[in-house]
Amino acid sequence: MKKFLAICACLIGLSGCVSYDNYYKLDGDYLNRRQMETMRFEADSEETILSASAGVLQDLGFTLDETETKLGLITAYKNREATSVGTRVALVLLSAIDDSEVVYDTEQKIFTTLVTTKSRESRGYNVRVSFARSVTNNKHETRNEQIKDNKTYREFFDKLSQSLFLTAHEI
Amino acid sequence: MKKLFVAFLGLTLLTGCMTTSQGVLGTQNSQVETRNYQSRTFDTGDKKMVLRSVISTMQDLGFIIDRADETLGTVSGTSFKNDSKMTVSVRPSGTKQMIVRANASAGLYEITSPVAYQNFFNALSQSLFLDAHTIE
Repeated sequence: MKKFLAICACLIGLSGCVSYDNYYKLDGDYLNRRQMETMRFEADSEETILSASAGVLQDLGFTLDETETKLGLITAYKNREATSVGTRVALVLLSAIDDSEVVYDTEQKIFTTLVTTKSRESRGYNVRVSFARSVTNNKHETRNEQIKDNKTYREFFDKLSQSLFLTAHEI
Repeated sequence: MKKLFVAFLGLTLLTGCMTTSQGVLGTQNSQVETRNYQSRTFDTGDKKMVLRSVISTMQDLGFIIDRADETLGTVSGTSFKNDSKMTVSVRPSGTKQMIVRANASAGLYEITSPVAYQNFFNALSQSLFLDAHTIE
């Protein structure tokens, strides 16, 4: 009877509610992340920056999904392999040795949001870009994650800097 | 005992089907109550500035923006932090105020926790403050 009551209590709990009270709380790191994702560029107009940004995203193989120039917004995505063939082969070989089941990532969809805003501190515009990805493994399980790697953002802004130069010189 | 358990299981599962059969117009709260905790008024007449702050708040919270429309005043995004989706709309109330409304869902469920929306509006208030005080 005790077991029965415990199972009933669990079922009621499950059919009831998941708590969302911790959703949408700012974490302690958000200002650092904002800084990592943002860079100021000199340009005559927001249109120039947006156009150069779209160019970089195309250079990187992204498909532009949504643009709203009045809000300085571009969103884009691309689908790619998540693990190289070499790594997969190595993992399969290793699993054959100890007879374990191998789990590896197969594909990923990478998303980006890019927003421009007029800089209040100086001439020019701030560009903020955020990357995230959905990764699927060979068991067809998907997980979502934000990309918080500083290097990725620095590289992107280097490319945008070059793109602005190329756009300015009509290349 | 088994019969009792099966009957209880059946009843528990049935409670999930009590809304409309298709779930198209199904919701858990009254319209007034929902609008109340999903909305907040901000003292500014600048719709574009509020929309830009909504976007940067959503970025702060780990969202990727899916759609935005300045004319309609809407922004939709997907959270990669807690796998949920949110739409925010901004509309003027008179000339000096903006009403911001957010609604979110996680998987198959709508988020009905007033605290979650309060968290979002607190984050938006901070972002509006940062944007208005040249902190970049």
